[in-house]
Amino acid sequence: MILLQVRDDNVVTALLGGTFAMLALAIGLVVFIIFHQRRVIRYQMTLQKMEEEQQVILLNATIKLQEEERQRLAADLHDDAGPLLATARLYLNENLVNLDKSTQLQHVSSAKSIIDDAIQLIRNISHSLMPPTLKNFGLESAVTDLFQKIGGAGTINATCRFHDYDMRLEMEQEQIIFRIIQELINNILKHSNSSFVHITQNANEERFFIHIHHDGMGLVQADFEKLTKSSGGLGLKNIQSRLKVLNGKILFEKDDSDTYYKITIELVKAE
Amino acid sequence: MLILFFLYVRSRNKEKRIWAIFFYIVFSFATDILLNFIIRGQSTRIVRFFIFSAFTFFEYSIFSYFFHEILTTRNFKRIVRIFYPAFILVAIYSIIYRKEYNFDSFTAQIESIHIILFSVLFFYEQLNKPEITFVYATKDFWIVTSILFYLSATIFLFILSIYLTKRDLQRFWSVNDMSNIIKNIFFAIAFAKPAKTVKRLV
Repeated sequence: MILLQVRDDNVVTALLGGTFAMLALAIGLVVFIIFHQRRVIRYQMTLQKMEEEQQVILLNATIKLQEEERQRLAADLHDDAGPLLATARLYLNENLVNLDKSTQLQHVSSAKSIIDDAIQLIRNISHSLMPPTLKNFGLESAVTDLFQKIGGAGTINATCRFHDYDMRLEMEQEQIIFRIIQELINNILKHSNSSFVHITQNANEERFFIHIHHDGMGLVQADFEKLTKSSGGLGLKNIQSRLKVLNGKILFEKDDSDTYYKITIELVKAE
Repeated sequence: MLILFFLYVRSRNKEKRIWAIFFYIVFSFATDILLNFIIRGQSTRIVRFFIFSAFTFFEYSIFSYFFHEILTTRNFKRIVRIFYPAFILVAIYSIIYRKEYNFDSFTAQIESIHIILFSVLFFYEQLNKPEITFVYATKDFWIVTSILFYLSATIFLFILSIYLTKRDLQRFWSVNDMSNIIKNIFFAIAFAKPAKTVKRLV
């Protein structure tokens, strides 16, 4: 009888203990899931917020760059084209008819020369805004033209080679790629102190690649990412925002031999 | 009450799996009425045994269907599909080779273990989902939690029921009743939740 009673007590204890343990486990599991998910969601939201902030930085950089471009354009027109045209006007004033024939010819000739200068200046401004070679003959010609000009100065050996450029890309794509190349080459010329810069182009069915090599001081990907997140690095931010438009990628790396830097631009071809 | 509440908010609960849970509640209610009021006293142990067995079978079928619908991993769905016929075979074997027509503790244990495992699989999936909707904002979470609590609270009762005296079994059957109440409260919360579209993280 006593034995039976002890056995019953053990069963009851096991039942109560087991039930409480199972309930504790179930509650623990549910609470863990809730807290874990909250933590993950909070982390994801922080990431999203950071991405949004990065977008704002990029947008501001683009606006600032546009503003700088406008100011440069205004300064070029005001400081160069303005005085030239004003001088030409001086030569061609009302008093010209009262002057003798030879002085008249001299004034007209000077005015003509000044107007030619003004035309050239405006042409240069226009070309800097939109290179005619790029518009008429495509990216390969525009980059070759740019590299010939750089190489022609004699301070750096600049070469370029396009391997898979049988068909032109969309005009908008070419413009953006050209601007990115211009910005990168500008940076290389300003900061890297390289003795050479070489650009190659490759492509496959879906993707388009531009590789730039130089032997000066350069950036690696971590530097690029750091600079695009900082308040400086306007040009790099602009490259990033341009690439975003093309859904492209850029990779800054140092060659294994440690002798040169490599920049790879990868783009998805438009259908 | 819960049946009426479901019918009141039925416009929020159009998914088949939620309707399956509703039918489970109706069946559960009908079984309780049958066992406690209609065949009380005049019933034999055999009739009660078969009603309990039918309820266990129906409960497992509904829960398996529900988990098969909510689990998204192919392998987890496969587990549910494999476990279901295995459970049916065990249940049939247990009924055929039974000597005494007591409460079918073995089948109930197997059911509890399977369904608790499915609940764990569901929560495991939730840990890896790239969604930013809080898990407790979904109907499925409340239904699974309700099933998990109910079976966790009763599994030891089912396991040890064959060792309990009739008096103790009656005494501790209140655990089953209480977990049933909690289960129904959680079901009500699930039914009351609005049907939401899930926002995915990019």
